[in-house]
Amino acid sequence: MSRPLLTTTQLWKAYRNGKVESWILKGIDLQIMQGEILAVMGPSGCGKTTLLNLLGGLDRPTWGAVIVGNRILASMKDAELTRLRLTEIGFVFQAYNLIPTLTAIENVELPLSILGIHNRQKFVRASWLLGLVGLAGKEDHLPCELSGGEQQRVAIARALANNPPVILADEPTGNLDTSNSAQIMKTFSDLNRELGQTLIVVTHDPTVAASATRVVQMMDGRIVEDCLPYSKDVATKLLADHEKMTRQRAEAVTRMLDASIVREGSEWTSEKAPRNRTQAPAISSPHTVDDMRDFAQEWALYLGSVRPWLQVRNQAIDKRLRWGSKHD
Amino acid sequence: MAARNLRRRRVRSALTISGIVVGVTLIVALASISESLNSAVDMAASEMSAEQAAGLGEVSKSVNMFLAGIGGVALLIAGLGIMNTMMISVAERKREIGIMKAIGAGKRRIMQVFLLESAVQGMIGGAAGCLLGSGLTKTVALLLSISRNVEIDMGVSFRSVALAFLVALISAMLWGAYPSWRASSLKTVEALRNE
Repeated sequence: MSRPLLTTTQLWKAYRNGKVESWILKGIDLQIMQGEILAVMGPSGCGKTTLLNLLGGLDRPTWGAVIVGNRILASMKDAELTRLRLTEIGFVFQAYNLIPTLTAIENVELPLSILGIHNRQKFVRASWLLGLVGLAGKEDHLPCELSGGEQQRVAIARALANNPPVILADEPTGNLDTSNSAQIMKTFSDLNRELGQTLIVVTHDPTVAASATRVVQMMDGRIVEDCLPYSKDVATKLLADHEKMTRQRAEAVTRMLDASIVREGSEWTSEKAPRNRTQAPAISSPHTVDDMRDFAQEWALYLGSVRPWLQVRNQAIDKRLRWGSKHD
Repeated sequence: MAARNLRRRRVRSALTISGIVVGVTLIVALASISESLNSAVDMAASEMSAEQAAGLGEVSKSVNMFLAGIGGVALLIAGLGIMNTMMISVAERKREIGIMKAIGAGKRRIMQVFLLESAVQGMIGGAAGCLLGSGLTKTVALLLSISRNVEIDMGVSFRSVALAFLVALISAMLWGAYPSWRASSLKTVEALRNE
């Protein structure tokens, strides 16, 4: 836990879409120490994945530098970056990204054979790795014959194949249920403890972030918070609170809409209404009410999930604006 | 890996390979025909006056050119078929290419994968075409000798078969080179984003 393994200095990244330039990263300063488990959190589109791509040498920054050990990524040639990805960085993706035509063990062997390792050694290492992630006996299954959690564990074994010091994971549990996520995160922290791998995990899930040693919050291409993680209990409570609040909002909005529909309905059936109009709602109202209720629930879910986020973020930004950044 | 990828896209690979088969068959047959024609012309020319021999030589030359032209066109079409297949294959497997690149496969490696695939198609097609072509030539020779009652010496020389096979292999790799190059120079991030 002493020397920084990865350092970024004022990392800026723009994507050009026609004539419109959009800045995805706006000056990221980050020091990642050896042996850390770093969780990067933040709303979609805030640049988490882009940051990860830059850290892993998949993409180049528009401005600023990524320093791995004592090398600067921006000044490296493509071939050198490829070599770096092969030996020093392991990638785990949300969509598993295994090669569909290769069996589990062949997928794990792939980075080894790119490195030019002999058949026998390759096989031994790949089977050891598959055993490590708890997939002994499934070596010859194709990815499509494995469950999501198993596929992700094959992907982790592949990322570990050349024993890289850093593993970058982009929403590794994004497609998995709770028990599988917990298992994946347990695998990660075991690896971290036993092999000393540094892990950088992009995630939305506070329970995943709870098993990190450090959490970085991002917003609109900036780091707004850099702190120790919530404890597991707190994370679970946060999640439960969030769900409860979402449900309450949904119910409230539904009640509101139901009330308004009843009011309108009574208008329609009142004496003043023309005859032909009294008939119409009788036929269509059940549908309308249902439709509207569905719509309201969806909308409430959306509001419930977005609003708390925004509030927390805004507070964080306000704090930063008022007090200046602690990273400066 | 190449074999498995070809098997995965069975129908398309089969189409391409049959294109090559047709091309190579034609080449083998035409090469055999022109060889036997040449030997016949040479034999006839030895019994003629110099002037007649020259005229005959002209005729056989133009016939040879014509046959070579047909063979060339057949090969061109087969080659375009390979290129088309490989282009589609590259477009379909962008994501796979992205994964390979992300885990550290270099340009050369990716080029290898696709060139190998194209070469395997060329080899299978070439081998099948050689068999079919020599069979066809023999059959034609046999039919001719029965119907016309002429003894035609139309053997399939090892030289023409080997030539056709090599031509198929080399042209498969040449036509596959551009798609492979395209695959290898894809940008990693963009390739990965591809669903």
